[in-house]
Amino acid sequence: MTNVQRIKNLLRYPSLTVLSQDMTVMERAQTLVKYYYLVIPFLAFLFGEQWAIPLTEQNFSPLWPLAWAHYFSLNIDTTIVVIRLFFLAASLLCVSLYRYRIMRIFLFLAIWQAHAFMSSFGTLNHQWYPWVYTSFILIFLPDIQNAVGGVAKKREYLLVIWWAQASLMLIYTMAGFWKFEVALQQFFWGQINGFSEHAFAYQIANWLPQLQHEALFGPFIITHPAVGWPFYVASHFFQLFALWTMIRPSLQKVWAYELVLFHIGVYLTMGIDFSPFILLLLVLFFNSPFTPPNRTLRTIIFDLPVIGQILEWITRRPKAGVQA
Amino acid sequence: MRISTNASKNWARRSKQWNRLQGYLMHISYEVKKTMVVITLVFYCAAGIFIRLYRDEQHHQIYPFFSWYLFANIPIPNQQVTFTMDILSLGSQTYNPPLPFSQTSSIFQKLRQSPTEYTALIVMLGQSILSGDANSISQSRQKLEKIFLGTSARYEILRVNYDPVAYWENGTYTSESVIGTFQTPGK
Repeated sequence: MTNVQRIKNLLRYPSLTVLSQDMTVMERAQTLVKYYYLVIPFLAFLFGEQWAIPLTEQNFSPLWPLAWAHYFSLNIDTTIVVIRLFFLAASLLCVSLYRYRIMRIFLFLAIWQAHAFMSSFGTLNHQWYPWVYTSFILIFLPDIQNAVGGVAKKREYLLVIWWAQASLMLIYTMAGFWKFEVALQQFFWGQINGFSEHAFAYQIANWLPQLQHEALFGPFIITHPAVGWPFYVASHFFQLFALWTMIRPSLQKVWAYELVLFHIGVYLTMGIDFSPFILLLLVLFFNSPFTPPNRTLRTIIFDLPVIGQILEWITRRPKAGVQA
Repeated sequence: MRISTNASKNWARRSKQWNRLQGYLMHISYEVKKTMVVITLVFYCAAGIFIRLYRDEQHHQIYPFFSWYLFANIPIPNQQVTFTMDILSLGSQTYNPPLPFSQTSSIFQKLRQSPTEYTALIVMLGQSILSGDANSISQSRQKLEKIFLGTSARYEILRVNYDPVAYWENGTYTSESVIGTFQTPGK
């Protein structure tokens, strides 16, 4: 096998053309989209609850997507009322009318405006970013009714879902990449680093007073760093290789559950709430159309990044006796 | 009547343009669409790397792009030199001993923001004070003092060296020095 073939084999991914001919896959894809639009009114409700008027204008510096509010000389309370109503109306209408692209465009605009508003108080809101991205991507879904449509439309439908899933996993991979990069840097400088036993304890001790959050297990990890160590290092691995699951879909569910647990762990140890991420992970990966139905433990292990490749190399290596 | 005719003509023209655009999009081959999807992901990733490498701490995001550099750096015990803020008075309330920044969550509840959002501003102000750049001090103060929501406040900026675990356990820094005291106008 040449090096090019090896790379091609490494980056192999499931054929969407083949998958689009499977009715079960298409039904799962449509269910995923349905659930996506079903949970958004809940987010709209949360947003409304969180940003109840009256608000203070003191530290309000609107981002560029809110230029219209400045154009119409609206004050902060009127702006938030308009965004709340728009978000609520668009999300409720989309529950039943999400098949119409125009409705999906309205919903994306509503989420985008809500996110821009939340990010207009000095720093950006990270938790809602993936909802902005995915709602934008889902605008490109082609129109198919009850899993009926030509192969071209069906595979485009799957492609858009793959794109939305990949946009979320890319975020984790980017976060993991920086963690690995800095950990290696600190390791070579002989400092405490992301792989050290005390790294998680130091991270928690450093951030808890700054965040001023209550965290149930934070103090425990600070006093027992060895307990948190394997979870901390494993979370780096899962984050870095999150995008890998887009070409090895047998891992999608495993990764999604692990990332949900990671967010729960972060909440329990540092008090940071990433519930919008959890919700999106569940919606996009709990019933992913790309998860192969007949996956075995062996498939999952051999699909794992790094570990899987090492195992593959070991099992395919010609045995000395056979060669002779 | 004339207006409505013009409006309907405009609408018809727009919808024809929209249909033409959709037609073009429909004719893009699946392979090209697949490539476009990959390009968007690569572009997003490249934008994140660019933001992280070429923008300073205060500007590590360009809306709607973000580097996703979160909690990557592990604080080094006793080499952790940073800046913090103590509040001496806020409105009619005087704090003796001064109120450390790590105990100011009640202020941030009114702001609907996390206190961490302001730690970078405190660091920026501290660095400006040490460099003696009056313009930078003024800009940093202007941004930071928004946390007081127009209430008169007196606060000091401290340069601290600490071990995070020791600070968490005892609430004491290895060393600390006040580098600036400020008073905000207000009620």
